[in-house]
Amino acid sequence: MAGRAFEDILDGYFPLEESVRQMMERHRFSTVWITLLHAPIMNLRDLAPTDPVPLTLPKIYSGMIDFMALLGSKQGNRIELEGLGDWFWIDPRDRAPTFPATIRLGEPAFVRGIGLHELGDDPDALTSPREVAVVRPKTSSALAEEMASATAELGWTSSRAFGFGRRVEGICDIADADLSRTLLGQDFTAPTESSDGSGATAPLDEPAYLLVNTSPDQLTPEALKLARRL
Amino acid sequence: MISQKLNDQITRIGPQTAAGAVLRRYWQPAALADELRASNGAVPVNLLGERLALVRDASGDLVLATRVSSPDEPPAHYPDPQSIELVEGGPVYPVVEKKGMVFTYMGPGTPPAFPNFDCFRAPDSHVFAFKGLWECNWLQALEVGIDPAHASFLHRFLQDEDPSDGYGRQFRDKAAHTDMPMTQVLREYPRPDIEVEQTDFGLKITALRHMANDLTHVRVTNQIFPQAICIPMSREMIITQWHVPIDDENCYWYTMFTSFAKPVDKDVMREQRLKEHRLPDYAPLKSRANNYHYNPDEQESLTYTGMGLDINVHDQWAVEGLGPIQDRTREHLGRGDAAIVRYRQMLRKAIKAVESGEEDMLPMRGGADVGRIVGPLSNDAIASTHDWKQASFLTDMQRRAECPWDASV
Ligand SMILES: [Fe+2]
Repeated sequence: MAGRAFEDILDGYFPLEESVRQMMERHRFSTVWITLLHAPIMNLRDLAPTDPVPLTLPKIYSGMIDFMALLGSKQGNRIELEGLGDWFWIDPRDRAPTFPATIRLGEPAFVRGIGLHELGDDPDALTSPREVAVVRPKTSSALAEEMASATAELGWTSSRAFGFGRRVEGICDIADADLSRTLLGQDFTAPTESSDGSGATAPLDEPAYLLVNTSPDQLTPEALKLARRL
Repeated sequence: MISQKLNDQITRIGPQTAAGAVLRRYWQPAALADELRASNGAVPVNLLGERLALVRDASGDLVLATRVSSPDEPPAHYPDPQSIELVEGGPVYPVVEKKGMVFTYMGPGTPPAFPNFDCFRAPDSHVFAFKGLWECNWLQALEVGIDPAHASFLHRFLQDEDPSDGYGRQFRDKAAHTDMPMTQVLREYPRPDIEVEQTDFGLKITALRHMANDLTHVRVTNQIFPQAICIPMSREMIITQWHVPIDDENCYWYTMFTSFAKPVDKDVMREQRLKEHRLPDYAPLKSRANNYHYNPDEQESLTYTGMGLDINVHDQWAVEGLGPIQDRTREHLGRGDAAIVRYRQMLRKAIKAVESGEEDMLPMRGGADVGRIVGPLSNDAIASTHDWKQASFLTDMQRRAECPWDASV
């Protein structure tokens, strides 16, 4: 499994899921985690996802994503998007607890994120130093300790972690979400004394987290800069 | 395509507006020192929707005070200094003079420090300041300046003149250390790859024009938050330009031309620009009213616009042509508009920060050590495609090393 932190611009005007799919295609990613900030959106009610972009935008069809974390994974020719976000619509009639993945961005949006080229249950995921790793907690408690010791087991000195900590159906309002096991870029440092690991294995249904290597002495300056800006 | 409401949010700058509140957290150019010298009294200033005047206060210090105005005066109204009356008890703002420009701070609290940009560090002899009026919103004026592709079209010259006649003019030098005129590079390689990187001061924008023989032309420009750009003008000079709102529908560009090696020939620079502008309001002589002196014959043989050789006029036509405030409900940006997309995100983030009382989050404010911000690097270089990054950096370092003032970074 190979992955990296990256920056890119999502195209505007097309359905969000299509813009994310094309972005993944450009980078040949099979899974991405991206964060959108302050991104204008439009809800064109009578427009099918395959319809062309109209020339003007009536004012009531507009809104803004203040924050949105999205996990995109390739499923054959299409992608599945799950996410948590904070967005608003100028027309209150557009308000809904979920955000359809067919909503179109009102302009291209700059995103930062992590991309994986191939995501599987790689038994070596915790053994060799790399830029990105997938970590499944071994227990359902003490998340911070688990992430810190995973950082150490990876041979890293520090990491930044991302994951919803549970299965999310579609794109949901972050205000309604249980965030108790959600990590949106929290930093972890490898403990100086290694924990006892205790031989527990991760239950397969436990949600995974993406850990990005932020160890100062292990990465190229470019990769470190990207990781620290996530 | 953003709604009118979202367009208003990022364009309108009067008191009590979201974008206006961000601009008021930074020093703003208010007048040229040339205007102070030309006046035997107050200097009228029309800034951020307010009608002001530069005057001396009781202790002899220069301040910016509110002047009596009438609602029907033109946006860039420049009353006779003797007729200026101040509004008693009206807002008074502090000012500082730097390198031929008078800056003011119209926001709350303590103003931020000035960064140590080249234009502020160079001796007075190496910096020349000028301004000009554009009849449009400040944001569209700024956005043309952070689009590295536009120069290949809007400023396209169909013939190359002798670069040795190019003193003091944009794009009239040779490209980097080659014999190729800059005009030829822009014309022959119109579709640059654009890379944008976040910096302490805003954005570093790199335009890469991949040429024949595995060579790449690298042009580095910058966006300085909130409304300035820093771009190369010639091998000798860089331009630092602020787009400063008079009101929502009019703005001034204020430019510092900074020279590295030789002192600036200010008389030549001023004379060149006064041929294109009238005093005292620095309105350009070419404007919408006279169709920008558009000449179809010239367009056929000499320039892309048919509006003369002064690139400022091309930009002025392009941005004024969008209307007083660009209608962004009809706009379609692409990924090539990377710097514009990134800039708007920074502006919206800043608006949010000010609204939620987190002003320390703004670029170059809060705990930021602004005095340590130097440069920024802005230059043109031609390099082997495989090491353009290093070559671009070294070109700038060489210019700085040869410079008589401390331009080290
Ligand atoms: Fe231009």
